[in-house]
Amino acid sequence: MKYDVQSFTVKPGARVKLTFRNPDELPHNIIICTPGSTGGKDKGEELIKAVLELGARGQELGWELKDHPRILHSSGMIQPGQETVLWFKAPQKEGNYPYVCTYPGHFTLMNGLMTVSRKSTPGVVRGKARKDPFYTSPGMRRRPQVRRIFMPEAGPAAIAVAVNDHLHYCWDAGQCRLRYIWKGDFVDGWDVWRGNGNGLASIEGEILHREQASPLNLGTEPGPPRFLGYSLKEGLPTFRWKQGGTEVEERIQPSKSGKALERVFVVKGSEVTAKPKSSEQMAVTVTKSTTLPGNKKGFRINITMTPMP
Amino acid sequence: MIRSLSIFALATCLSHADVWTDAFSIEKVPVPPGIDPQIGGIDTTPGGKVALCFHRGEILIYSPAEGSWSSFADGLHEPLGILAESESSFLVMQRPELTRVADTDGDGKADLYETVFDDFGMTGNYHEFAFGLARDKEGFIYLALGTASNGAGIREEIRGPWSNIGLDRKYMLNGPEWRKYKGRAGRMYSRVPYRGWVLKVAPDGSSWEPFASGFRSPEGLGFDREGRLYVTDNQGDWLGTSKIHHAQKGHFHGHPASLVWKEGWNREPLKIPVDELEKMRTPAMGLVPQGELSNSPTEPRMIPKGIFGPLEKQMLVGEMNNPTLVRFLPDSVSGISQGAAIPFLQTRALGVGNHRLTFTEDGSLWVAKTHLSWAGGEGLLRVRLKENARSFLAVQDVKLLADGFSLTFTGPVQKESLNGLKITRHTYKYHANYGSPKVDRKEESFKMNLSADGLHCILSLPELKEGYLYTLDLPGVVSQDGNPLLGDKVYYTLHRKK
Repeated sequence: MKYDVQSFTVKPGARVKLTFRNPDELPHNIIICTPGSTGGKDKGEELIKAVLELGARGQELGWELKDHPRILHSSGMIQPGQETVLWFKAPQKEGNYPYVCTYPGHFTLMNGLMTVSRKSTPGVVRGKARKDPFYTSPGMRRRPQVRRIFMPEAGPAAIAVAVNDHLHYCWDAGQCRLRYIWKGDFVDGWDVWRGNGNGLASIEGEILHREQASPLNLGTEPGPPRFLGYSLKEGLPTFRWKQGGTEVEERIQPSKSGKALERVFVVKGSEVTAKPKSSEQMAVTVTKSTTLPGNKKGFRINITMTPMP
Repeated sequence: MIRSLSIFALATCLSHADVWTDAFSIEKVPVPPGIDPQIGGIDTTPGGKVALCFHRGEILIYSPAEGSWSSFADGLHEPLGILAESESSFLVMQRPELTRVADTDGDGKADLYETVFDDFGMTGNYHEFAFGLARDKEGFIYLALGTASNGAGIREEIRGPWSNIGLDRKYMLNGPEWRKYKGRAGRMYSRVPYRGWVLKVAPDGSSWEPFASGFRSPEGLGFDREGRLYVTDNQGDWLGTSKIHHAQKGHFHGHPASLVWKEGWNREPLKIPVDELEKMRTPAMGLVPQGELSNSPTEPRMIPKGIFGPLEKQMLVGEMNNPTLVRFLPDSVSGISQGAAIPFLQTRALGVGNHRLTFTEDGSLWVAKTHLSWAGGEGLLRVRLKENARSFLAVQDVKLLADGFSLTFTGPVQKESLNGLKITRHTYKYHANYGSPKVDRKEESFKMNLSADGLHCILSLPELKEGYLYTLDLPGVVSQDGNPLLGDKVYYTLHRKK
């Protein structure tokens, strides 16, 4: 029992359309409160206490104190399976405006925050509340997305890639290899961006698969890899690096259904075999191995990586 | 006489108003919404547009002619320098590498992120910034690598080789234990290559060389018209005050942590006697006094020909913590680089956080701001000389003489207005502690002689001392047509007498 939108941000004076659906078996409402004397820190509890004081009268009034000074906008009590649309103009005054469900006992789980801010990007945050004022900006939410940032479980030259809305991976430009794949949301970089870089981005999901070493066995003396960069096609990177005289390319893209990953290696200049390992949560198999035409030895290896059901 | 006195009185009043904004317009250029407006780097494209890279890795292009923004690239890791190669190709210094970011299919968006150079180490320590960029006449690229701060340790996984000189690696790790060991790491440390160095890289990445060492946090690089590479560095351990260096090939510029990566070096930098370091180091071309002029100098950028009137082709340097820029006038004496630092645009209207600078041909100076959670600012400013301010008064040049200094003004000055002139000198300690008080401060007596044309002021002192910063205070100086002096302090770093 909670609001799926934990917080949202609007500009002062903006016209806001709020759709409130109640998929639950109990009635619920949403009441947007003024910041009050605590600047919104009480999460609207002042109103909840006033509603509780109504006692038996509460039910008649739909658990709502229509003239309470903290109430800005109210959906009214919405019955199970019903929905309503609230149109309102955001306050001119910047600040934190809590919203609550006043049905008795719901408040502790059912509360959220409307932020009115000139500087922050308007938008909606599902799940946990965010401190990053740019978390909802289009540049941060775009999929796919390539983002170089300090990442956990990787070297300092890490690259995070959002493949689509569900699947993401971390690639290490220091070691020139995939480190891990996760599902869920992408990253929250606030710990890095709020300051001078002293922190790591956090993964907003669950790691499905870690790769302990490159799945490739090159036929020649490999030497340390030298990262050459990446090119973007349809927003996704194709990484390039060199090991000795061998050039390698790697691209990871979504399968047609978007539920699995297709990984393609192109190797030029030496023999190559691939022995990727599956893990508990991800099946990793070589689906195709092709010899490329041309004078130089060249191979393409296709690997499919499918999350376990 | 009565007439000239009244002009003098008027000018004194004016000096209390904002003399800078009388001559220069400073306007804020709004950055598009949804972008964290901390700007890491700025440069002008050959076509006269302004390219900027941001804290979270975006590259945006601003067209001054159209007043419009376009998005070029994103996803870079804390870029702190950008160089435009064309309208569609940029070199960017990001934390992990020097990258060429280019649009190869002509759609106006970058599709190639080519690694030009990443042969340097990273421990993951936050203070290991990668700064840049400067390009010499032959096209070589210069970048600078910050040392790590003992405000944090290192990460388990690092990039590049580890130097065993210093505290054992197992004690260097981030974590709850770090507080116990940090005192033994050195306040700033360089345990992966080439932290605390300036590196020179071929633009295609085919070759590179370590160029100069001895830097702590070398925030900005830029060439002047004589081909001198200016590198700024921040007050801290081994830096009594912030500095503007003339970085020279093979030279050591004073911060010892970087020595670990000198070829054949095997000694612990913290254990080298200061006298020995003193003999090795090339002293800074310019000392900029902490708290007065600059606490954190940033990018040096030459004023192009034809811009800002008599100050064309002079060097400007950004400053993070004070609402000013710094104008630097080099004065080489017997092959030793020294010179004078003078405040420029010292006005609240400029604000703090002045990180990167560029000019466009329409006469605009663009000031890009950042803070990275320290003192600083955000966003972009456009500075222009006002139409009606063509004849502003400033110090045009400063030269050392055998017994003093020669100041040249951009226009004739009123003799009486020089009466408040004051000269003091002081020096700083060279030591492992953070910063330094002013040492051996003394007010100097002097004789003054203004040339008949009012343009040259000769200051003769009984004695000059090498290794000192001379502060020439010029309050209330006005031109003969009543304009106040813009920049009324001159800080001359004297290493070598004439």
